[in-house]
Amino acid sequence: MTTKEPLSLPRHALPWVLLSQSYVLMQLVGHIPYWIYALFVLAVGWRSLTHMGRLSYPNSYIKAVVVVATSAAIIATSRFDLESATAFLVAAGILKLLEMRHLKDLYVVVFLNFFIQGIVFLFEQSIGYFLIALIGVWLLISTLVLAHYSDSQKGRYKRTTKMAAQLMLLSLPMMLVLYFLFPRIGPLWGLTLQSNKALTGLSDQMNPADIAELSQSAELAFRVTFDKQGIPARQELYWRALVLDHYTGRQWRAQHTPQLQWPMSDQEPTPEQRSYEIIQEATGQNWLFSMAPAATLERGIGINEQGLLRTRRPVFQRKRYQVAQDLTEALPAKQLSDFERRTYLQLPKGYNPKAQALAQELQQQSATELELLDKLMQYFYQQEFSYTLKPQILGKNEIDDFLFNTKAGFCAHYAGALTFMARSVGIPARVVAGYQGGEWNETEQYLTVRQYDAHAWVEIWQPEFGWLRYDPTAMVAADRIEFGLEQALAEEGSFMEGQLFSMQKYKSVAWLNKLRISLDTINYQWQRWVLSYDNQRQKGFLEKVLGFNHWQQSLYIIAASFIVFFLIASVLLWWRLRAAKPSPFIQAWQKLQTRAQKLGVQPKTGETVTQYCNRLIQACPQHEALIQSTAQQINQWLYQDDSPDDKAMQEAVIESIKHLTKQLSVQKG
Amino acid sequence: MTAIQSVLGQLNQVILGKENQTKLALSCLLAKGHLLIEDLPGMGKTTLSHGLASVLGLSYNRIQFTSDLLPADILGVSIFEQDPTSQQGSFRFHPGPVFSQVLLADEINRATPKAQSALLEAMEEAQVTIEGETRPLPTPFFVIATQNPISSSGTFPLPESQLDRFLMCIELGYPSEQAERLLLEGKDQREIAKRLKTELTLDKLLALQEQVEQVKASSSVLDYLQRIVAYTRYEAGYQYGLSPRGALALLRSAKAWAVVNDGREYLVPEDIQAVLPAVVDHRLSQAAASNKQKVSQDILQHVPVLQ
Repeated sequence: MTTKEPLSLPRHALPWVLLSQSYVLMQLVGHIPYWIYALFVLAVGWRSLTHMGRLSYPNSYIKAVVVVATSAAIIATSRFDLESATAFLVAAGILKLLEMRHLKDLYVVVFLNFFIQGIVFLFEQSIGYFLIALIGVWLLISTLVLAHYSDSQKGRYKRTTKMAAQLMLLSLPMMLVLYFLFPRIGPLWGLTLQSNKALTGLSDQMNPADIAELSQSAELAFRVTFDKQGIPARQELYWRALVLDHYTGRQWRAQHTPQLQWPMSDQEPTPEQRSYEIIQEATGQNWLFSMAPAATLERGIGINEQGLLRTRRPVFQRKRYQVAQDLTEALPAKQLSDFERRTYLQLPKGYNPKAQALAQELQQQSATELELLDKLMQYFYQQEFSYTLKPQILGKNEIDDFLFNTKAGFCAHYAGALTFMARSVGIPARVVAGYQGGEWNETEQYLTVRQYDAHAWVEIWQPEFGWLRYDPTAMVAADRIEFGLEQALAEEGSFMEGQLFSMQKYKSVAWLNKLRISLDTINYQWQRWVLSYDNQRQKGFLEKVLGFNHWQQSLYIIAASFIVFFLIASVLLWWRLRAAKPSPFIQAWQKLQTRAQKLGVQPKTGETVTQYCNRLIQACPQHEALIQSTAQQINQWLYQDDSPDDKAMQEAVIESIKHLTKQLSVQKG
Repeated sequence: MTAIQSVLGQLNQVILGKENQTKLALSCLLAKGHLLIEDLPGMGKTTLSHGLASVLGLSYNRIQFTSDLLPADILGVSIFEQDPTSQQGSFRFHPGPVFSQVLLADEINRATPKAQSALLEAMEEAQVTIEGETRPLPTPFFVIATQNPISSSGTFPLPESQLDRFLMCIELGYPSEQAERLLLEGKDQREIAKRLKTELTLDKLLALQEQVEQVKASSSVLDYLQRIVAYTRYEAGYQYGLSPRGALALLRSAKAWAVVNDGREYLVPEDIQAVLPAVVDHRLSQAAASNKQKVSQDILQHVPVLQ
């Protein structure tokens, strides 16, 4: 018994393996440690030298050392999250290069790279990355195809890449079936993606510095499309996310967690409601965005007493949901409970005496609470307040310092100060954090809200009206509310300061701005129609369009479409083979040869009719005359008369061959 | 006895026991192709070419190729001549040995590539251009070249482009025992060759060439030929396959073989198989350098005749 040597690695495939692997790894820049790339360069170098015959494969001692060192390095730097798991897999793929000797090792490396290419989607899902990944898949398939061409075949690169593209096109129907029908199961192992990575966004503690930092970020927060009621005026676009009810003297916090109500079923918006759809980026938090007064339309979204929307689980993936805004009334006017009244009047003792004094002074000048509130707002307008993202550091009594000393700050300072003063004269008040405004895309009719649209404002309780919105920032920098942050900071010039390459910074360059908006539109449509197709939407699609009511049905359909797909492929293949079926003459001739084989005359490739017949005569001399006449007939028909299309002649030739075949079997019998 | 049979009979008197090679050589000339005879020194290359020329009754020149041979030695040269009486002079062209109906280029691969390529235009276009003036060569024009195997010392291998211009390349090989005995017992074969009878007139030769062109190739035979060509190009794994000129050469040679071998008016696959080694091996031997087998053997074993 001999052991079979595994198929060797075709030399011309190695550059393609390295190329496709580099391409896939490039997409992970920023997500895995940089030293992994150094490891990759080393491995590629070593493997290339081996390829050129300068260096042998590493022996098992070296391999053991490298594996142990790499694992140790990953564990040492690991935070046991998605990124270190990815780094581990990538490192394994890189080290496999060092022992890639045979074709089967190439399979391991290429399939690993397919997997890593898939992992990239855990980090990035924009349409740009989708296109990049398409090229990656194409390179990987090309590598696999190329590994099965022999070294010397000309034009193999062109044929290989073409075949890879064809394979991808052919798999398109199956891809669509799987995309639409394959059950979207949530992560079974509860790996919270990116949970350790700080997501940009609001937090439940308002620190002025945080919002200042947010305003430097052009990252997407969410996008909104409105129903036929259309978009409200820009001054009304207050996207509520959080109520900060507790003041510690240094910062505002969301302390009280009010009761949530969950709707029992999905609802259609009533005519008195303006419904809109939000596609929200991952926040790592369970709050959603809405305009007051909000109403929930979906089963999985609850609403609390503060009129804020919440989900059961934190949003770790992009989420698409439907919200309604009641157009008829303000937030339901009801009595504040004692607990609520205490909560919204809470103040730490001993802070900001000057601000309290100011509030009390103004209170004495006003007859009603509404008048007082007007006066407070007027105060911000009349005094020399300015809007800046670079405020000075404030002292122990922050609000006093801000109101009477620096007089410069942004939304968080103004909202905090107003709430403090209202509470200090016994008016329930709260800070609301969220986003304000957004960029309206006129052609595609959607609103883009970015992190720099983050905002904080005030809601104040009036028994007759309920919670009323007061935005002191508007008194200081009306531009911020009406035109956005960029206008408000036009003089200071601090908009997107230090973000030289952000396209947001160059809105004034017309063509660049147009390009930016077009790119944003494409990405928006991609998110809206492709990425947001989640479990719930799939359910809706299956129920409404296909009439399914159980997920098993879609599995049956998937299985059925696989069967149909392979049936079609088999039929096509059969059709092709059928076209190559030999002519009746050849069939008869082959039958004769099969028959003669039993008499010991093996057919040889490259033998002419005459040569074969001569051998046949030697095997059975008693049929010499018959064989010779048949051979002559064939030769005459094929070569002398040149009439292979003459049916009568063909029939006659086939008849003689059949006759001869019969004679040969008679002899055998 | 037909003219062809008598020609063959005469030739076989000179080259003993090499009927196949003499038939191939004659087929080559009837297919209007140039012939290359490759073998070790002393195998009868020169004798065969001598014999061919004298039997066909064509004017005949011989050039012994050496490493210092120059193109002018082959093509001819213009020399300034002065008339001693009038004292007036002019350049006069002295035609070289190429101006003949049969040119024997002996040991062609001993000359430098420069001299070899001087034959190039002559072989392809039956004309030579010297000092800007194009001069036609006599018709018919055959080049019979002999060469020593490439491994011999002091040789410049012919480039592929030049090999391709020879319709056939044949080897003689050692004679059989009986033929060798006859050879040893008999007279000097070159003496016999000189006294060979001329069997053909020019008209008859041209008529035979015409007859070769009239040979019918059925679609089944052409299918076979195309399968051979496709095999060399795509399936055999050679660096390059048979060129269209090579395919045409194969067809023409096979037709001539049909006439020479048994005076047939149509082509059968056996004709192609008979000329295949002579036509294909020298064209593709470098392309299939890694193969131990000869190209023609490879083809004969792998390309089906009927399909």
